[in-house]
Amino acid sequence: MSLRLSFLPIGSIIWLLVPFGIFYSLRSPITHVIACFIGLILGSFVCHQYFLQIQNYRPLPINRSITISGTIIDPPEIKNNHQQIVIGKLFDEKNQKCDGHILVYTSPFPSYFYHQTIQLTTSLSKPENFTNDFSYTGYLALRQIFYLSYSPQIKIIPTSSSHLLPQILTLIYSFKNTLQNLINNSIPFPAAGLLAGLLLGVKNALPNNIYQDFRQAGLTHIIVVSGFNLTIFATLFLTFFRGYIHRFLLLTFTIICITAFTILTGAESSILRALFMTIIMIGAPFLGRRSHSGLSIILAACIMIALNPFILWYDAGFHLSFLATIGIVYFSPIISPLVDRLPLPHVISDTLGESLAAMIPTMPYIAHSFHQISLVAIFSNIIILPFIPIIMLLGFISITLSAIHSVLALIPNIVTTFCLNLVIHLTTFFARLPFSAISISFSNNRMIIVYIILTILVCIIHAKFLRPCYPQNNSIS
Amino acid sequence: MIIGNIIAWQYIFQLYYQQPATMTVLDVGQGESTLIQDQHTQILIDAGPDQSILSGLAQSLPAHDQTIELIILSHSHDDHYQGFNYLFSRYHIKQAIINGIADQNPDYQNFLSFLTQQRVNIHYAQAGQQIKLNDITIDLLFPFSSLQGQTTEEPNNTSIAVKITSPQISAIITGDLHQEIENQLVEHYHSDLQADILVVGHHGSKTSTGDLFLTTVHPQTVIIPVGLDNKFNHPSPETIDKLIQKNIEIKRTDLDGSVSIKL
Repeated sequence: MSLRLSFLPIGSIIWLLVPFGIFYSLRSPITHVIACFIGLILGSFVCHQYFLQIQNYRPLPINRSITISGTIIDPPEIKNNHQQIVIGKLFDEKNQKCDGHILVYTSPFPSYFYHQTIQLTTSLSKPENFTNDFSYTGYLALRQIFYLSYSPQIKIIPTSSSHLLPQILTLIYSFKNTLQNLINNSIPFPAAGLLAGLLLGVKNALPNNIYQDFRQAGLTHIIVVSGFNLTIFATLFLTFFRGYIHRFLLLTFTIICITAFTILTGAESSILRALFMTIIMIGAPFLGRRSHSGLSIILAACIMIALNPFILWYDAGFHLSFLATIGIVYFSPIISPLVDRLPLPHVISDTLGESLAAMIPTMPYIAHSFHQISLVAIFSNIIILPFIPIIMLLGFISITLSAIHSVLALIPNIVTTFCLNLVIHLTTFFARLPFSAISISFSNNRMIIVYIILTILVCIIHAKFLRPCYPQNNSIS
Repeated sequence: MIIGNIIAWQYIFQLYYQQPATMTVLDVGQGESTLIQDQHTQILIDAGPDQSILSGLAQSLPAHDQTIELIILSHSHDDHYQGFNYLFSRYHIKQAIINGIADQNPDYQNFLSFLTQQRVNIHYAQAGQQIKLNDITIDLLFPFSSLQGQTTEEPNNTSIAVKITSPQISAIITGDLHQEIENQLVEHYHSDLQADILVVGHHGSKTSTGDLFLTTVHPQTVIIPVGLDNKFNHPSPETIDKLIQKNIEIKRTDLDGSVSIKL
C-alpha cells in the first residue's frame, strides 16, 4: 500500500512536469503535440493507478456498531449546530490499519483539536449524492473520505506525537485559536465573524442569513481569505526586510511565513493557488529569471493537481480560483483600457476593471454549478472591495493591541467594528434589492461552448491587438 | 492622556446613560431565550439552540459589556442550553441557576462541565427563590422543591418557571412545561399567576398553554418563541385559536424578530 501511495505524487509530478518541460524547452508545434500525448498517457496511467488503489481499500463494515480509533487530520469545523471532524490513520478493534478517512458529525461542543487521537463507537454509513448536479461523494473523495459517522460516542485517547510536522501544525492551529479568541473578545458578533473570515479564513463564523446575503450580493469571495490577502502579506514582508538581510534568506523567510499563513487559514484551494503563484513570482527574480503570470498559473495548477488529482473533477474552489486568476491575467488587458475611458475615479475604475475581468470567466461556471447569478455583484464589489484592505489593516492593529491590553485597543476596536458593520449592512442592502440574483439553469454543453468561444476571442484579441504590449509581470491576486 | 480620556468618558457615559430596564424575548430560531437587563446587570433565561444567541445579544447588549451576571437554564433540552456554549468564549458568566436534573445526555453533561471549568457559581432552582434587580423582582415558581440529582422521563416538565415583576408590568415564562404542571401552578399560586405578558410554553405546542392556566394568567400579550418553518410545526393551530378567541395580542419571534418590552 505504502509503495502505491508514494507512487501517486511522484507519478503525478512526472505526468505534469515532463510535458511542461518539453513544451517550454522545445518550442516547435510537433513537440507540443508529443508533449500533450505524453501528458495524456501518463495522466491516464496515474489516475488508473489511483482508482485501482482506492478499489483495493479494505472496506470497513457499514451499518453495524463498530469501535474504531483514528487521528484528527484536519482542524475540526464548527458549523451552526454541529461539528465536522475528519479522522484518518484508522485502526479497527483488532488494531489493524484501515484505509480511507471518516467524516464525523457530532455536536458542536466539546471542541476537538487537530491531531487528537479519538476512539469512535459508531455505525458507519457510505456517503450518497443528494442531487444529480453535485457529486457529494466525489467532493468527499477529494479528501479520501469514504465513510460517514453521525453522532458517535467519542473517547479521547491521550497520545504524544514525536513527529515534527504535526507538532508544527498543532502550534500553528493553536495560534489561530488564540487569534480567534482575541477577535471574539474584542469585536462584537457578527462583525467578529466577518473579521475572522477576512484575516484567518475561519469558515462558518457568520450567521447563515448574513452568509446568504454575501452569496446573493456576489461577495462570498471576500469572507474567505484569498490570494489577495496572501499577496498583501508577502509584499509587506519583502518591502520591510528588503536591503536588511541577504536575498536568499529574505526569500526563504518570506516563503516560510506565507506557507505558515496558508496553513493558518486552512490551505483551501484558492489560497494554495496563490501560495504557489506567489512563490513562483517572487522566486523567479531571485533566480535571475523574469516572472510571468501566465506561466505561474500553469505551474501552480500542475503542482496542485500533482498533489491531489481529484481537485480537477470535484473542487469548485480550485476551478473558480483559477478561472478568476486567468480572467485577471488575460481579460484585464482587454477590459481595463475600456474602463479607463469612463469618467470614474482611478480607484473605482481599477476595481471595476479587475472585477469584470474576474467575473467574465467565472460566471458560466457559477451559473452551471450554483444555478444562481448575482446581478448586483459588479456594483457591490466596486463599493465594498476598496474597504477590505483597510479593514484588514485595522483588524490587524485591533488584534495586536488587544493582545497587549484591551484599553489600548478600545478606539481601533470601535473603528474596526464600525467598518465591519458597514460592510455587513451594505451587503445586506445589495442582497435585499429586488432581482439582486436570478436563478439560472446552464447545461454542461452550453458552459463548454461559452468557454471555447471566450478562449478563441481572448486569443484573437491578444494576438491581433495586444501582442506588442503583452504584460510580462502581471500582478497576482 | 488619550487612554485616560477614553476611560474617563466611558465611565461618565456609563454613569449617566440611563438605559431603561427591558425584557427581550430573543429571536434564536427554534428555541427559547429571554434577556432581562437594566443599566448594569444582565440575566439570560435560556440561550436557544445554536450561535443565533450571539446575534441576539449583540443587538441587545452594549458593546462594551461582556459580563452576564446570571444565566437561568430552564431544563436540559438542547434548544434551550446549546446557545450557552457559544457564550463562554465571549462573555464572562458569573452565576447560573439550573434545575439540577441528572440528565446523562453527553452534550448536557459537557455543558455542565463547561460551567464548572468557567468557575460559574451554580445554584439549584426551587420555588420561593427570588432575584432582585433594583425595582424588578424575579420569582421562581417551579420546581416546587429542588430536583437536584433526580431523574425524569419528561425533562420538559422539570422546566424552571419564573415571574418577572416590575412596577409597570409583569411577565411569566414557563419554559417547556406541559399543561399538567401548568394546572399545578394554578392550584399552587391561584391569582398570583396573573401577568400582563406570557411567554407561551413549549414554543406554542398544544401540550402547553392550557385553558385553565391561560384564564388564570389572563395576559394581554403573549410572546411565542418559535423558529420559522420549524419541523415541529410550532406553534400549533389549537394554541393560536385559543389565543385569538381570548382576544390576546400575539407576538412571534419567527415573524416579529426579537420582542422587547420595557419593564
